[in-house]
Amino acid sequence: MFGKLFAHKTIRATLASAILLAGVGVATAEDGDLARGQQLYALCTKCHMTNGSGNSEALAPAIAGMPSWYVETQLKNFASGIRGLHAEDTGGLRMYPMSRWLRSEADQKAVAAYVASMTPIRPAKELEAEGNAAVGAGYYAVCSGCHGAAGEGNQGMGAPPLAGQSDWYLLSSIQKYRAKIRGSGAGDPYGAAMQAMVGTLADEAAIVDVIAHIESLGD
Amino acid sequence: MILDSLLPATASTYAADIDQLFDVITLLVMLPFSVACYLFFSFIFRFRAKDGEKAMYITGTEHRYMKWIHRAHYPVLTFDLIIVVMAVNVWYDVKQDLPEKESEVRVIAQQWAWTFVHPGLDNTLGTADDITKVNELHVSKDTLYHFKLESLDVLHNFSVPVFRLKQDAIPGRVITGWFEPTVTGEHDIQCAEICGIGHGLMPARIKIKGAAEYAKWVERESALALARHMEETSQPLEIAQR
Ligand SMILES: [Cu+2]
Repeated sequence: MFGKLFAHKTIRATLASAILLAGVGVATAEDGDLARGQQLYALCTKCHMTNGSGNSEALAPAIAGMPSWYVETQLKNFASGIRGLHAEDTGGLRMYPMSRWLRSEADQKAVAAYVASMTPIRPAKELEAEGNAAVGAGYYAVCSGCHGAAGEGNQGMGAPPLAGQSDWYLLSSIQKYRAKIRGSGAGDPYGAAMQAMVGTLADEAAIVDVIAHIESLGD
Repeated sequence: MILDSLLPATASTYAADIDQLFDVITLLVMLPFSVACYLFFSFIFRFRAKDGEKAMYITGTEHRYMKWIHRAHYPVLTFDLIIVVMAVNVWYDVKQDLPEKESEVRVIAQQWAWTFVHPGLDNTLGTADDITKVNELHVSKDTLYHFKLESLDVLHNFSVPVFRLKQDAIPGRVITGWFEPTVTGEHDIQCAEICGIGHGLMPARIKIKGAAEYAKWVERESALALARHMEETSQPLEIAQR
């Protein structure tokens, strides 16, 4: 009876294509399936926008062109609660459920690959405070050890690129590290390091200056 | 009773009252519904088209026809009245009457998480030893709690299915309600008001502990909270954003 069932041409063809499709899915998802990533990215567009420019109103930073290793790590950190699961981390708490829409590592990799493939967008200046970039360059010497002199980031140090990031997001990140809202999660050595590093920025002026310097990078 | 197998476990003092109301409503609605279905389908069958029989035209205004409608009204209205009286009673207990509290907890909803602030060892909110937890509500069995429900952004709804409790959270308002857990265990808390794209993944857990276990938890956590408070943490600076 089963022989007869499988002998049916349509069923045979369907089975064959299903097996083929499954095989293809597994093979390409390994290295971040761009088409799958783009499909899943539809969820992110509500806050990070279709072009990945971010939206300060939604507390969503610019992510277009961020390296895939960093995006993938952050997606995993959000999903496991290492990052974002703090009562005062309003933006982070939004990422906690959103990151959990991605139910497999293949999907996390796919979204990360798609975000990395997007064209970076230079965000507009949003902070009112005018920092002194030249003074900020002095403070930035400490940051450049990991984030690079040109703010290009360094995967080996777990440091994301800073050049081209929105000024409001740099500010909010520094403030969250200062207040230990970010970087306190167990298993987040880079966050813990950042909590210590932001201590080198003594006051408001120093923070605004270093942001002014970072914003001048990559011009 | 009838719906037990379909509903989640009960773990609050008023959960059984609400389940009883479910039962009463189900029964009182089921009865007229069954009668109506029976009449509807049997009449369709009985008065189906037959050869040589012409349909009769009825306006339905004569008393001998109308009385069947009137008579059916009386039990339906009576059932409605029973449901209203019983529902108002339960509603009063759950939502309007506020029994004396033994402890309290702050519940803060935001897109898309719950923050619960538990009183520390001093059993008073707003002090340094308050225990703040994201997506975890810890309570002690047989303790009457007042909750202070707030929302930081949009409408949410604090729903604890095992308590049969649902309360809207409205931005700008602090809404007070109460519950008393009766059974230890761990259950779901959910948001029951669509609140944005992450609404479906906004669950939290309620952990109902025995008094001794809860006391131990408070002692540990409130010491940690105090230590964190004492620690010199710098406050975020106010830098104006355009
Ligand atoms: Cu909600």
